[in-house]
Amino acid sequence: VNRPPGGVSNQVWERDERTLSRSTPDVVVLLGPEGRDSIVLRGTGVALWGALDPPASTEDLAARLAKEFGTDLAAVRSDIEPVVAQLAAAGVLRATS
Amino acid sequence: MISPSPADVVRGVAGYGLPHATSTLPLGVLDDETWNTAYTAVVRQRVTGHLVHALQDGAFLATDDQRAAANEAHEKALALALLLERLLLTTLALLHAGEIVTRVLRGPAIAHTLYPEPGLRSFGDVDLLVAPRDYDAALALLRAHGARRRFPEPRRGFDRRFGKGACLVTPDHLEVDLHRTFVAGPFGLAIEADELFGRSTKFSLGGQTLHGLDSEARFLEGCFHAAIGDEGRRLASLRDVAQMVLCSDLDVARVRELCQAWQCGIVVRRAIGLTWDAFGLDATPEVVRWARELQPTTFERQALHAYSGANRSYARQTVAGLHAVRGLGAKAMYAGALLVPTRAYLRARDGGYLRRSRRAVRLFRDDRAALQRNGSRAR
Repeated sequence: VNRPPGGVSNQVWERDERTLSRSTPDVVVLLGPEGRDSIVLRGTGVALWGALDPPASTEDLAARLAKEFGTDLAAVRSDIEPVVAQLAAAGVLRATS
Repeated sequence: MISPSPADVVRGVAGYGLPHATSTLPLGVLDDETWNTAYTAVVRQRVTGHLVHALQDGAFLATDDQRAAANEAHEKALALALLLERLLLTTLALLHAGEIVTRVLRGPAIAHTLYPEPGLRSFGDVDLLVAPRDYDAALALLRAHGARRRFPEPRRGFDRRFGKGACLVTPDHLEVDLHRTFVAGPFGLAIEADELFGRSTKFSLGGQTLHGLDSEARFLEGCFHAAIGDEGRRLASLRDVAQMVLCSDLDVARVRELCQAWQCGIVVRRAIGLTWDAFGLDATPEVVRWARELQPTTFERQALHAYSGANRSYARQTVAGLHAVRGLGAKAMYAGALLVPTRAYLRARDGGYLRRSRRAVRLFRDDRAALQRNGSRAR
């Protein structure tokens, strides 16, 4: 839905302000503007959601999370790309212009 | 493993994190039987947020299975809250397009304005207040978009003039309670609903600014819910009252004014009494001191009788409401609608005219007896 044509890595993503959410330290539950089923993020997904405020590109998100967890940048990038794409498809994130 | 009273465990959970609470959490891991009973009650009372919070803080000790069950139940509660908030936003969009002014009551309004995390306050439906003049239009609008009434009104126009409101079920089987006032019966009839729209407490949801009741009206509405609402789900309401008294700014002079105007000081006294007992609160802020010293009027005592005790019922509250209806013509209309309601109402509530007549006579007789008892006590 919000997937940019040239891939996701350099696209800047922001949380759609219409997204409804609830957080605990272990879990983030999200409901997109048109969604009927909630999305549950756990573990690094919780950190990813936190890192999306302020808006950031997938590359920046991967760098931030790799630093936070002390892990390999490429591994983090490959982990979060499908999650970012899924969140964008669910309307929870939108690509900024 | 330990086996304290499950009721004490649930009270401890519901009061977790509350300043001045002396209710405590168990000091060890609960045995399976106690856990199962307490867990079921925590879910029913909608206080899973406090349980998960206590588990995360290490204040509630649990096995891995118990912890997993608590987390799973809370995730379900959070997911339901989001669905209901989406329903709230779509419902408000419809009503506002129809130029109908609203105030959000209870669940979402409380969760987003009174608690440090909205996830601490779970809820099971959406409650909206509309002005009496807009009530019929609001109802028609929501029904035109697929909502259906759970119960019909006794006669056309009864709800707008005398009723609490209507419970609507959406095509997704979620509930919207469309309120004209806070409660059915005498207390609801004594409230000047139009006055509730002059002020508000704002909160943000889904990128929009919504309006709940102002702090003092919200406190009184919370007291009604806590004092005379569903006993099986009372702890969350009692926690709300404690949050409002201990963790928010209340203009006590305005609370007193509203109580006097709406004749509901006894409701505040009862709500505060139940709250302070439930959580063993050892603070006595100004509103608590005032409520404890309050001398209820005869009307208040009689009205409360209809909502409490073993014989409490919607029918009893409605009969007792006759005393709060102003003007002879209005009283006749109120009594007439209840004595000879529509067939659809009868089918849903009583099954037939004969059964209803017998029940009505019995309730009016009981109501008169209660009046005489309370009257002689007042003298």
